[in-house]
Amino acid sequence: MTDARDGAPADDATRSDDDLSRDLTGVLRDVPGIVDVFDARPLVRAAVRAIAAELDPDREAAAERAALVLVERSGPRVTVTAHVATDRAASTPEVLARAAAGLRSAAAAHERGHASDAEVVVRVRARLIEPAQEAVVASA
Amino acid sequence: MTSPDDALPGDGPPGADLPEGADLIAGDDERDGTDSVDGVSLEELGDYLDRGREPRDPRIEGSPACRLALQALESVGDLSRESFEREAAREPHRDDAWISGLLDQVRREVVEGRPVPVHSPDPLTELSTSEAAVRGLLRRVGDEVDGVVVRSTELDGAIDEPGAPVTVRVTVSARYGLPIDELADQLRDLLGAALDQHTELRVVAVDVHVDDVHLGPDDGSTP
Repeated sequence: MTDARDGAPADDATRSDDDLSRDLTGVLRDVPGIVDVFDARPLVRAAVRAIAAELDPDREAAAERAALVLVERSGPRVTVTAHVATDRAASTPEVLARAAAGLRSAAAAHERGHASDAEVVVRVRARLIEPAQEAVVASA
Repeated sequence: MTSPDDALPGDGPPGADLPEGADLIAGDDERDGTDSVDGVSLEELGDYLDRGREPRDPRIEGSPACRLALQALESVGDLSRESFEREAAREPHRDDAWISGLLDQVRREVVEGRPVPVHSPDPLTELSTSEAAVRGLLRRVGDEVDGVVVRSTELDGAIDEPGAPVTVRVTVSARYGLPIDELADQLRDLLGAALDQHTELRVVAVDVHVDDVHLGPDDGSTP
């Protein structure tokens, strides 16, 4: 089984996309006005990760927190989807735009690093708007 | 609109603590998932709040719906503890219906709902806010107004279509004795400002309905 990039083995591609998801999650956490990042991956996949986290809390919980952006490939296109909480003191549309720009830049760099010229589609949704100080407690 | 002069404080929400209120709709016969928020019952959320959100539960904190429900439950808890204990002792049967109705509404509001689009000049970028996030914001802004408890929020109109006219409807309970007209004006201004800051909705009206009154913490047992 191969993915759309250079006939690379699917396992490598999956690992690469997990890395990309982790990188993009980190990018989001550094965007001013983003106060939390939620899991945007399909429920079944997220549930499997949650069970793994219960079995090995330290390692899996850390991984769970780290890779929350959904990365999907279809033909010559990679779509990254992120769900975030925004700071109530900021403007949510502006925060979303900043987040999308950061995701696009990081995803494009990742693709170039893998000799891929895939078109990058970025989707960002605010699922919660709350004061930053509350989000710090929630994600501690 | 109801004025404080023609509604009895006894019609309002007397209090119980969160777990008890949550129990009203998360009873043994109903714990089948349909009364939960992302698989977590409101009773569990109430207990979690009472523990000060410790130890941290990633299943709850990682769920936007649970976080929205926690925000709302916190408001209910505040009003229960601080404002309505006297009424609960006086007319406990009223408390059941009021709290359960409010929690039922909260559970409906935290479901993700429709996407509220945010414009992006890049055709390969899609930005949006969930309907639940917007309704949670409205509830939060309303609950922060002294003497107000938000009972329900609604976004009427095609909120998933950019530029479509949208009417916001917020139903609240007001503390007995407050000037309702001024309160409604204040709420309308705050809600409109919050929507301007966080969405690109074309809001054509913000309707504030005050359909209940309640006693404040310092009020006597009779008005």
